[in-house]
Amino acid sequence: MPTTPEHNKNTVIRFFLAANNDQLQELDKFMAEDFTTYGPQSLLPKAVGRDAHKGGIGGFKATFPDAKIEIIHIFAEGNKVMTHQKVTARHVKEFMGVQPTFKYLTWTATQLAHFNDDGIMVERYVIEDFMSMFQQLGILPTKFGG
Amino acid sequence: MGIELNKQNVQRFYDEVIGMGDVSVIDDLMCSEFVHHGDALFPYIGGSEAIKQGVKGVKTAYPDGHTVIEDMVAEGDIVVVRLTWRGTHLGPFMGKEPTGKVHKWAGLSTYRFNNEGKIIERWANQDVMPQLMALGMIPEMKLGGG
Repeated sequence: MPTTPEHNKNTVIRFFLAANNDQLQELDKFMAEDFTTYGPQSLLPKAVGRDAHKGGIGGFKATFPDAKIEIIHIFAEGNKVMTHQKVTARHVKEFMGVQPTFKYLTWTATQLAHFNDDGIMVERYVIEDFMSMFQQLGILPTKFGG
Repeated sequence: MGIELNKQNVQRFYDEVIGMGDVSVIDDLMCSEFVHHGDALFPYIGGSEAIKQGVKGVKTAYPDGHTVIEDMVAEGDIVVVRLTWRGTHLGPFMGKEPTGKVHKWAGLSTYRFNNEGKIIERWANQDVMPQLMALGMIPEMKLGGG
């Protein structure tokens, strides 16, 4: 039986929960073998394959151990699911050359995921407000130009 | 009203307002009390008049600026678009003199319509760091330590 938009939404929720809870092996259930993420152009342009994703999420969680993704909006149509989410992460390790500030950093992101007929994620597009995160870390100015 | 009409209206916003610069179309498509919830560069814009001023400003800086809609997801009163904006920098932008270069960014925007089929709210994540790097407004950056 083909998947449904509601089932696909549930899969995205479970994917984020597994990432939040460091259950990286769980992520395999939700990703196609060649699952591809297209991310912010200059910072995280592309990741391909289950191992690359587990490695990337694991690396992020090693730097930000208590990072949590909270879904603000979730909508679906056909084989696509979008989420608008808030990420909260306490800065407890050196990151981008900045010593731990122990501040809570928060930023928003939007994701658009594509599923196959079996309800497995085949690709996703993600844009994260890293600029805000860098501003909170003090490595980018908060005001620009005229 | 309805999902297909909402999608058409988002397409009109990008074609006629952003692409052709016809800000009068905003009155057909948006409530006057429209609110934009953005990210670091433009976190909040209140009112459709402010959107008109913003569009005019960008059109002055990037006369051929236009958006290509790469993907859409709609459910209920929501339309989500994945987009790429491109423009040639021929006028001053945020205090930066024209460079003559083509700048581009990718975005994911979530539009909410009211009962009368007008856009009342938008949440946007926009990958503008490459554009700001090209303009020399922020340094070249990569994610990671050190």
